[in-house]
Amino acid sequence: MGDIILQTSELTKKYDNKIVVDSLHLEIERGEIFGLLGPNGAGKSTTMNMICSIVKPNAGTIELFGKNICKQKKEILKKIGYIPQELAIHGNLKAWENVELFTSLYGLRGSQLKEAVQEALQYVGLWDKKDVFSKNFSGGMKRRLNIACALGHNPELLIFDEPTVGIDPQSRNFILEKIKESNKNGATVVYTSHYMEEVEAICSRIAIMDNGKVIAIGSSSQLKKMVTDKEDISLEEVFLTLTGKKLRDYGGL
Amino acid sequence: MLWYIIKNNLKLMLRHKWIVVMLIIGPVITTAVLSSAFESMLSAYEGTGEFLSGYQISKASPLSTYAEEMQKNAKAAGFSLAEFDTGEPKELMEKHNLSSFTKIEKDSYTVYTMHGKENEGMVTEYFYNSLFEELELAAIQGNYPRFSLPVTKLETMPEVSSTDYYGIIYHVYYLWLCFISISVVFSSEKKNQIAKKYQVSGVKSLTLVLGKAIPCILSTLITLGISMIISYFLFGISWGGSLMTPCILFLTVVAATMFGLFVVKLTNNLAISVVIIFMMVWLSGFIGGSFETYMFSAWSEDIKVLSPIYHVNRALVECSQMGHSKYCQSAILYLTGISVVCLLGTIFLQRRRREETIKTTWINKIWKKGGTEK
Repeated sequence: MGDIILQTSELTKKYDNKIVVDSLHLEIERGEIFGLLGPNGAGKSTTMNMICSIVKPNAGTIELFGKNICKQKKEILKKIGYIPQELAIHGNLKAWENVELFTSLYGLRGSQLKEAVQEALQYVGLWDKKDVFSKNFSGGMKRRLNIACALGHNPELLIFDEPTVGIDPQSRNFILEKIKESNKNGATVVYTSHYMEEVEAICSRIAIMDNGKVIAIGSSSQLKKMVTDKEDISLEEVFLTLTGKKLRDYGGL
Repeated sequence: MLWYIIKNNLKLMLRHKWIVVMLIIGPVITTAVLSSAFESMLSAYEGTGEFLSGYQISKASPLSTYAEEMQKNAKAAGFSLAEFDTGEPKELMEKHNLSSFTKIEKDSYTVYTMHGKENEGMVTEYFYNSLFEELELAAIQGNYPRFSLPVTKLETMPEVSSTDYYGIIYHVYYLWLCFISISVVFSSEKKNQIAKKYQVSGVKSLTLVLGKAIPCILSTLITLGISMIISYFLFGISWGGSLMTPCILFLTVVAATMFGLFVVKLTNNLAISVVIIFMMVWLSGFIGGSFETYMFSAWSEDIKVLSPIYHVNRALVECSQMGHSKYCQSAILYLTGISVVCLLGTIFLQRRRREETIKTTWINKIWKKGGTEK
């Protein structure tokens, strides 16, 4: 295994005596695009919230960049770029203002901040729309702006939480290409999505979670071999085989 | 970091045109409506000329040995005293054409006035109140009974026009509603789930609180300034030249901002916060002279002093007419206290709310609303 950038050990989270994440062990190498899959209620969001320090674990440890996140939180968080599923941008701010606001939270200022804003908007192809209010953007443009807001401070670890929900194929393709480009430029990526073909297309390793635990981990081909010898099986079929076809709605776990 | 949060939140506040217009035009319109509605009430507040006031004093009263000093003090206050040993107040007032009459007992006094002589009655009451305060002070200091009543000119506020009064009062009232401009930021953050981004960045609670408070204070001062200029040109509202006036106005904005932030953090619900803030400001204003003037208010002084708006109103109106006010100190203390308590409370609640919000969101999504969790 290469250099481990993220490691969780016995990571546990409970809400009202319900165990959401159950003694999770996870290791993510530097430079890989790591996919995290699972049905509704599997614990993926909670895991990512703990990694991003939004939520405190009940037990276990998280080490990022070789440091315990509970002890050196501020230093570690500066290296993380989080792209939430929600379009977390202010509609009444212009594109550049949104990027400036969220990039400034990581300590950048002055000309350094200005350059970072420009680079981030150019990277996602929105520089020519920098003076447009984000409420006037299309869905795809808002998603790209959402990404730009997380890239400005040049993070080493990017966490994407379903970044392509509700957008057209061209925008989706653009975002996936940019994720691969970011990875080539040195960023490690953790990616969650319900679109299996996306995960299969870009992720070097995939973990499938269910009931708060990782039930399978490996590359796409390794996961397929766990289930069958057939070569033409899709990742979706693997997923359904491992997690079951039962609906995962409220109260169904 | 803080500068950029302030800058962008200020943009969000000022770009909401309707709120800006309301904070500018609101005081102007309310001043115009209320000043004309209450003009006749305030015009009754006139200065009194020389008048004659009678009194009967019990031998047991400590003031009974100070007849000469009382006469001198009354002269300095602008009226004359006449002593009567016997007789009923009403008969004596009619017979001797007295504007007011006072029966002084051992520990109390009762002031009688004729219809149409209410101002003289108030001056008389204020006079005896001051004398009894001096006696109390002397007793506390151990100087009683051998002390001399100082001759001081009673200070009363000159008559104030309804335009000036309501002009000042309503600018103060709308300042307490400045929370509306921060609500824009809260609404945008909640709608777009921006809180998570702040948490991931590790920004401190104090920074987030100041990042909302400072732009709210700035945007309110801007709208206040514009409104004051418009009011001055339209109605000629006089604020006086006291330096206390801008100081108290500034502290009012700070206190109102911190109070608004605190209520939002406490309830974690914008709609409920708006209702609570409006109710409390209305109640405080009702007691404090924002509707019925504080001079003619039916509320006792003990109730009025509970209202921060009362102290602010009184301080600003008296400063505008007299150049100073003994309520400036209490207004400043009250406003500073509100600001500090609410700031500390907001920071404390900001820290506590973080994980609760995530938990509540998760529970609502999965177990109650059947939403999707990953």
